[in-house]
Amino acid sequence: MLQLAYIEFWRYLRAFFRYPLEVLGGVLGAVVVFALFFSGVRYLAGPALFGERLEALVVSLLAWTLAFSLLSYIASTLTEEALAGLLEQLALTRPGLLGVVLVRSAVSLFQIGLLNIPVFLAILLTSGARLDFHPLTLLPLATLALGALGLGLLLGGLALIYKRVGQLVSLLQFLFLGLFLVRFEALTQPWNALGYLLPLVPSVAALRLLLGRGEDPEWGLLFLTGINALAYIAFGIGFFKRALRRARRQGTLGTY
Amino acid sequence: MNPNVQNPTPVLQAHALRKRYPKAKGWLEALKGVSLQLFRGEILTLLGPNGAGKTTLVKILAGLVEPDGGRVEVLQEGKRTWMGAVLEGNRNLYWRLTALENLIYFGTLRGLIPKEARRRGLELLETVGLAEKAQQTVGTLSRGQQQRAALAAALVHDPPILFLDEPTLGVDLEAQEAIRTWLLRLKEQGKAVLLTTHQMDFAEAVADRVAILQEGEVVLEGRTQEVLEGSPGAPYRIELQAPLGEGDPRLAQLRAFEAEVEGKVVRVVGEETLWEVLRILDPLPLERVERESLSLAGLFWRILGERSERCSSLPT
Ligand SMILES: Nc1ncnc2c1ncn2[C@@H]1O[C@H](COP(=O)(O)OP(=O)(O)O)[C@@H](O)[C@H]1O
Ligand SMILES: [Mg+2]
Repeated sequence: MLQLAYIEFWRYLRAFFRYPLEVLGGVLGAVVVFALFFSGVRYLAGPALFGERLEALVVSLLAWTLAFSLLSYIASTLTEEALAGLLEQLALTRPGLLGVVLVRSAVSLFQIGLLNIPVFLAILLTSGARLDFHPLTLLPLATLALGALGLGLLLGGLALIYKRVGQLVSLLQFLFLGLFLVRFEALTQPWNALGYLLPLVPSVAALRLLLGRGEDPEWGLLFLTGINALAYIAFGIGFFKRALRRARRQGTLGTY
Repeated sequence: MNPNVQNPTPVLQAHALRKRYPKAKGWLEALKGVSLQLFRGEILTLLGPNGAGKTTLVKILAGLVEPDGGRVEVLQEGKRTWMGAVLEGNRNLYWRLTALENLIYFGTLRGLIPKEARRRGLELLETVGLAEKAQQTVGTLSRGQQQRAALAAALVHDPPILFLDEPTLGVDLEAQEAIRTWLLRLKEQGKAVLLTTHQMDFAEAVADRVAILQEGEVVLEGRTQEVLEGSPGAPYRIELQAPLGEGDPRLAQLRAFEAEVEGKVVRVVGEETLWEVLRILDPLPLERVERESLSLAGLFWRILGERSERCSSLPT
């Protein structure tokens, strides 16, 4: 297991140092977009526009960046491997395709965390938001990552069958931007329950409370966040396995 | 069916494999009950025209395609790494990694420790004659070099069984020769190799046994030598200066003599038939007429000819 993580990390570094601009270009793009957005908004409207909601907004955006980096990483790596005709060779390995994807996702967490630091700094500096860091924050961060992994496997499963899912990923990206901005935790009874069922949303709510308001969320919320993440990862793995099986039945694992 | 004398137990057995794919109307029967056995220290070559089901068969054996019926038995079951495979097409490796990096990566994923994978990788690249290309990204290698690197990658974890789907397709002669010698050496080391190709000369040069697959059925199977000895007269090959048109009435006449027409080339078996066929073709300009040596190619064309004859006599 450690060996696999090591070799994936090694492979990643090799590719990174050979083609650094591809990765850095994406990071730089995100930094510029967020920096321009927040400076522009502050210049136009002053900090009053968001008022006390600024922190909530910033946390939502941070969570969104993190979750979608991971999610689209899984989907795009599978699409790329399919295009390169490598899915079959990866299936003929000890961990199998699902194993390789899981190990890669775990390794990518590290990379995503590292690469997103400049993006976070850009958002924090240009928005002027003040966030509280509490050790408990790690919990919803972990559930956010798990949930994103589950969704990533779902999209990855679709990529196994339909090969190209880039459009779907962009669509989801905007859908979730909207969802992440809704403060389900502040809504009234029937509506906030909906938030617990949606993927990733409870983790974002917990993060908003912890980071933005410096409040300790109720244990009930944290518990539901964990259940939600576990449910989505289980669903993602199940879906991926079924998709793999279907691709093998149709004989289309290697085609693109 | 009688067991091989030197190698009594096959390392791989396939029983009555069936596979059908959905198509526009109904089903396409890609495999209609194919059985085969693979032994240690032996190269089995699967011959067949395009669409015969060779790739489907190899992928079922490798566990990449699920059959609709039949089963595959392997001596060492349970692991996905009992075999190495070079699959059809040219993308078996990461083009952005070097040849050696690919070997280290796949070797580790197939159960070696990275250091061991590196050592094996260097050794294998040396054997396939790519030692000085080890540090070059695969995307910058020629097709023949890529194919040799892919072969090395399939063997990096030293599996007992090797599947090669069209390993010589689009590969220059020098690389073909390198692959041929290497395959013979692997055989001596006791590996079981299943190879598909439609290059008859290559098949003849390496195969211990051949199986001819057509429209999803094994139409002939046996030791290469025995199969060749049992084959009747070698066919004649008539090459026209221009191909016959689609609706040419001569086509039907040619078929009546069991002639195989492929573009500008007409193949017939037997001297008498040759004269009849030449009479039909008269006065078309000819490029050359020659007798093919008694070879797998001749046998192959004859069998295909027989089969299409039988099929065309069925009501459509
Ligand atoms: N995934 C698939 N879906 C539908 N039809 C397929 C698929 N794979 C192969 N076929 C069809 O099955 C037949 C056998 O194909 P294949 O095994 O690739 O033959 P070969 O390798 O001998 O050329 C062909 O007619 C091909 O079009
Ligand atoms: Mg094929």
